[in-house]
Amino acid sequence: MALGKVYVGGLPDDATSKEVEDAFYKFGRIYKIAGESCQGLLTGLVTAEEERLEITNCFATARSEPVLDDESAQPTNNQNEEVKQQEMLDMLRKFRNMNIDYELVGFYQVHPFGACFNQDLVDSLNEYQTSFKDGVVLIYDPVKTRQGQLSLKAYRLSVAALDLCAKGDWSPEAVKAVSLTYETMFEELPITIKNSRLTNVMIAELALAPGKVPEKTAAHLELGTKRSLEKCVRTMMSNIDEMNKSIGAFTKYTSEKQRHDANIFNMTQKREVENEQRKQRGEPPISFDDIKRLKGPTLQTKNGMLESFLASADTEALAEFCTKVTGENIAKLFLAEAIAIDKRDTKDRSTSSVSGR
Amino acid sequence: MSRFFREGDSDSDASTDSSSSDDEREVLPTTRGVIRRDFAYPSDDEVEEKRVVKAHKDRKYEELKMLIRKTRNARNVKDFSALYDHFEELCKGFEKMKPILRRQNLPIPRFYVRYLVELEDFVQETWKDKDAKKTLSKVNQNGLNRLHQRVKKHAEGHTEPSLDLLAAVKEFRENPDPVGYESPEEEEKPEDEAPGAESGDEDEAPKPKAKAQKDVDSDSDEWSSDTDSTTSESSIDLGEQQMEELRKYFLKKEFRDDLPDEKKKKKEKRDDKQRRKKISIVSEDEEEEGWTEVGKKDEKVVLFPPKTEITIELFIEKFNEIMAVRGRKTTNRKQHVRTLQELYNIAEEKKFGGGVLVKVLFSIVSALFELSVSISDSMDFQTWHKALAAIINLTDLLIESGVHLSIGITEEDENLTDPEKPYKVNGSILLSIQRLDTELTKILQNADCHSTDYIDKLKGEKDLCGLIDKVHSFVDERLDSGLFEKAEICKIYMLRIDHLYYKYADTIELPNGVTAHALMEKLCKQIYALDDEKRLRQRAMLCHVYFLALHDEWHRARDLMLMSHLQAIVDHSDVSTQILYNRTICQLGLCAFRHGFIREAHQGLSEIQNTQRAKELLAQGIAMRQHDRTVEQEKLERSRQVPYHMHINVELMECVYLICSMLLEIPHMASHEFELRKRLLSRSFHYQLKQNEKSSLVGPPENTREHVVAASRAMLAGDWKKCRDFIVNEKMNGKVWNLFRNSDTVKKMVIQRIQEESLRTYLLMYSTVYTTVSLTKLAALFELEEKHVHSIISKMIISEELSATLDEPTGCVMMHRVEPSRLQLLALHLTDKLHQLAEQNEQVIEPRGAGGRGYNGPGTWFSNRGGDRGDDKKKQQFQGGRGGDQRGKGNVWGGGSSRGGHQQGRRGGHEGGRPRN
Repeated sequence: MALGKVYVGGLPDDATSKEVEDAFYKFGRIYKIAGESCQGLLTGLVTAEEERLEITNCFATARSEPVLDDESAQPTNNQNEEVKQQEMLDMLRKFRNMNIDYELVGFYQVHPFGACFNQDLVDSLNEYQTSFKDGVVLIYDPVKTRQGQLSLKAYRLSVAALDLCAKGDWSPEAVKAVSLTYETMFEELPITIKNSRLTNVMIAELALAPGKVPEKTAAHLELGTKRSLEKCVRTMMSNIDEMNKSIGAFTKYTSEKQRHDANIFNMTQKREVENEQRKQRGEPPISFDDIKRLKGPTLQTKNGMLESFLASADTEALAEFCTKVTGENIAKLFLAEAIAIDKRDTKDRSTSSVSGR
Repeated sequence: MSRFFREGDSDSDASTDSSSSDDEREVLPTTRGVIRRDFAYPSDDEVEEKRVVKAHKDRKYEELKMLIRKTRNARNVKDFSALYDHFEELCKGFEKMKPILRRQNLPIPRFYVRYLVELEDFVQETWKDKDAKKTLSKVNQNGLNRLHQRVKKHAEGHTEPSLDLLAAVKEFRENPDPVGYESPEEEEKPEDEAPGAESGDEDEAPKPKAKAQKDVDSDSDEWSSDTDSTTSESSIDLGEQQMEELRKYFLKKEFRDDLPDEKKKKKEKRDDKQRRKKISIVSEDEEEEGWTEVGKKDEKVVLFPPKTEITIELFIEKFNEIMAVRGRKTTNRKQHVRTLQELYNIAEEKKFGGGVLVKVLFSIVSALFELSVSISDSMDFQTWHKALAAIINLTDLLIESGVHLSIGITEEDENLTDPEKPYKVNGSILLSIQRLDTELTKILQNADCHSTDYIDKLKGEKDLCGLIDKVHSFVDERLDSGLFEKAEICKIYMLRIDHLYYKYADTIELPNGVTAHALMEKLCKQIYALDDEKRLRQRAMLCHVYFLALHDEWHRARDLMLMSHLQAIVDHSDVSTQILYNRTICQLGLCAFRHGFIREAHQGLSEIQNTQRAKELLAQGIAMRQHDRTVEQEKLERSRQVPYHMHINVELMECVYLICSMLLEIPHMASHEFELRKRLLSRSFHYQLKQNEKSSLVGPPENTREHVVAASRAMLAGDWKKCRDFIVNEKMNGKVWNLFRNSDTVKKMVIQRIQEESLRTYLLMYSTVYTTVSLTKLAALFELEEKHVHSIISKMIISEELSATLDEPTGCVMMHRVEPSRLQLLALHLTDKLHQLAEQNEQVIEPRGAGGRGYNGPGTWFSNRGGDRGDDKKKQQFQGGRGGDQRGKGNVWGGGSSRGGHQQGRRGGHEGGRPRN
């Protein structure tokens, strides 16, 4: 019996794999139940005349098993990783078979608060963008969406960043040379959502029939954003810690660099004077090679400036989320207040009207 | 060793064994004199001549012998090239020696001739042995060839009448030494070329002679100057050969058989002889004048020609002469001391008056100090004692005789002789005492502080104190005489203080009526008044503070400390003062603790304890960091170490510090529980606490540190009884509490503080659990008075640590709930972090100078940090209940926009991760 993938939709949110197994065991032995992950591959086409990338479909990859921190779980982790790799390959092979692998234009990921900037993302983007020039990543923010605003963002690495990625050199000098900042490292692309005609028809119909819209749609008026905010602030804090570290390293680097430069300068001058004397004496000058060969200090972080960039970008995203949410909350408070007053007023009016009668 | 040989030695070999020669003096003079006459010494100005002879001739002999030894080695391994080189050198050396020999009418040294003959034989032999020659390497063959010619030539080349080498060789060949005989080169066999005291043609002759000699030697009781004359008469002109003959004789018989026996006897009688020697010096006949030379050379004990009237002028002349050689390399220091001692005895005997005695005694003291070669090595304790005795002697002498000993008197102004005027001598007893003190410190530093040896040496300190005491009163009486310089006087006061300040008053022995406190105060005040250079003033003040702190006069000690402003200037003073300062603040901290001033104690001690190198800072141990230090630095550091008996108990200090930290920190921790970034009052305490937390298995506490940590945990849980039991128990009694003099009061104080702080901690930790608590309940729980509980809670409410109100009628505390929400806390935190980030960012643009970083110097002491600011913090936290969130954000934005822009301008903003919007 051939291995086959069966996609099951419409499961309740809290369905466990046990329940799924119970429901489906009659169809045959179940090898593995992989929950859907919010990440996967995107396929689409580049439309040259309109200068845009049209993403037409997405394929979810299997959810990765949670990585256990325990030392003893290392083999399990490795195994999980392997299985995942295999599934990915499997999927790509199937793409090949269907002859749509040329349509691969990127991948999508889910990140709460849209704080998606990490090393993995950069690596993957780099990979995609080198093989396919217009590769993008779509970031979906479930938190914001749950609060009533669909949040989708498309990013890709800027040319300069891609260049640095290819070289793998994130030293301060290299970064400065291409004048890259955390803001220009990623390019955010505007997104236009286009529904299919069928969907459009449905939406239009829904709009025309108000009774059919479910009652509970006012998610965007929810005031209880405390938990998400809390989480956001926590993440921000860890990012800031990271940045603190990077800055510390950078400070050290600059001071060392200064010292080094001064040192080189002194030595060069000395050598020049010496060479001048030698020239007068008719001896051949000593070359500057040994001075040039002196090694400058290196930034004591794993990936040079990249880390601080990522932390900065993340923090920015988080801060943006915070400000938006708090700003909206204030608006909502005003709204709620107004409604409350209004309600009281109407109540008053009604009572007065009653009394009036 | 036979005295007979010694005599010869002094002629040919400078390095004589002086130890055994004491007894032989009486015999020698005659022979000596005879030989001298034979060699036609210029008899006038003997001292001078003697020196020259010894230096030149003997040195040359030494040189030659050295070379001969080298050639022997070369000959043994048949290294002809080396042999040749050595031989060349030897010839040159001989060439150089010739004028000396000629001048002094000396024959060619026997050993040289013998050597030449041996060498010639050897070369001839090798020359003839063709096979052997062939086996030699080219270089060696070459050497042999040259040597062959050279040896022949050498002998022929010297045929001057006086120094006919050829003849000498010939003569030697006729009367060769026994085979295998070698001129002894070591001092053990100084019979080399011993000049016999008689004609050596017949073998029978020396025998009785030697016998007689021996008798005289061994039977020293009988010995008198009379015996000499018999031997001296028979002596006639001796050739080298006879001497050799004689030497052979002794070598074979006397040396082997009689020596051990003789030595034993000698040992027994040495003391006796030495005593007799002195007498003999004085009673010696004038005609024997010559022999004193020998005595003087071998041993400088014999100073004056016997029977001469030792006048004071002669004495001083002699003294100056002896002092002239002081410090020279060739001078035997021990000998020097002994000579001076002798001089002193003579001076005393002859009653030359105080001036001379003082002068000599002072020289003896200096000479004793000079015995140890390098300044970093410690003196021998025996020598130290001698020096101490000498100085005590000197002091007594000064007190008795009223001689003026001062560094103000120059050498020219000295008056040693004139009894009419007051005696004046250049020197300073005070400086000598100071030197003595430093030497004792060095001795103690080098002694093993856990041995009884240390205690023995420490007893010297007491004697020294007695001496200092004596000198102090001596100086006090003569303050106005102008004999002492200000600095000197300060020094003696300082010495007194140095030996006083670290001792408890009841252990100090003082003359009637004077208390240690009064004395200390008086001394210090005198120094404040007299000292010009501030250093001693600082030290005196520190000592005073230390002393006061030690005697629990906390307020006076603290006031003095604060008045001195030493915190500010101590950084600029020398290292030893800094060490003293460290010691003082530690002692002050301990004192504060005993008085229950926990915060002050903590501040005092934290400066030392927080650094992890308390021992180093107190100079009670060397840090283990071997690297980045040179040997000199380490030596220097070693020399700064405080002697063991002055140590402050580091373990006690640490324990006190930790207890203080516990009492301060635990309530603090309880109230700031939600803050992620803690403001640490004491890092090391937190470190200990964290270590304890980390450890997987917490056993019962072992050392004091663990006890305190365990107590801290108990206190954090609000269990004051457990906390108390951890702090006050048998183990801790032994290690900590019994070390306090008033341990019961201290313990009581600590327990009370534990109760109070536990109550505070409890309220802070568990205020959320209660809505109301009755004061009675709390009082019962912590076994405190209700009034006391009331006051504590009131204080906490006032300082806004606790948000509660006291309800008077019911006697309850009503808790209010105004803790910030989690989000608010987080926001506050974030603000903190961002603040930090902003600071760091600023540093990138403007690197902070070296001065601003880290340790700000001890000036921050007592700056009442902690308390107030901690309260501020709390206010912020509690008041900020609602506004905290907003405020946090505000900071974020404000800081972000201004700084972000700034930084972008400079660095392309690549690390400006500041949230902006």
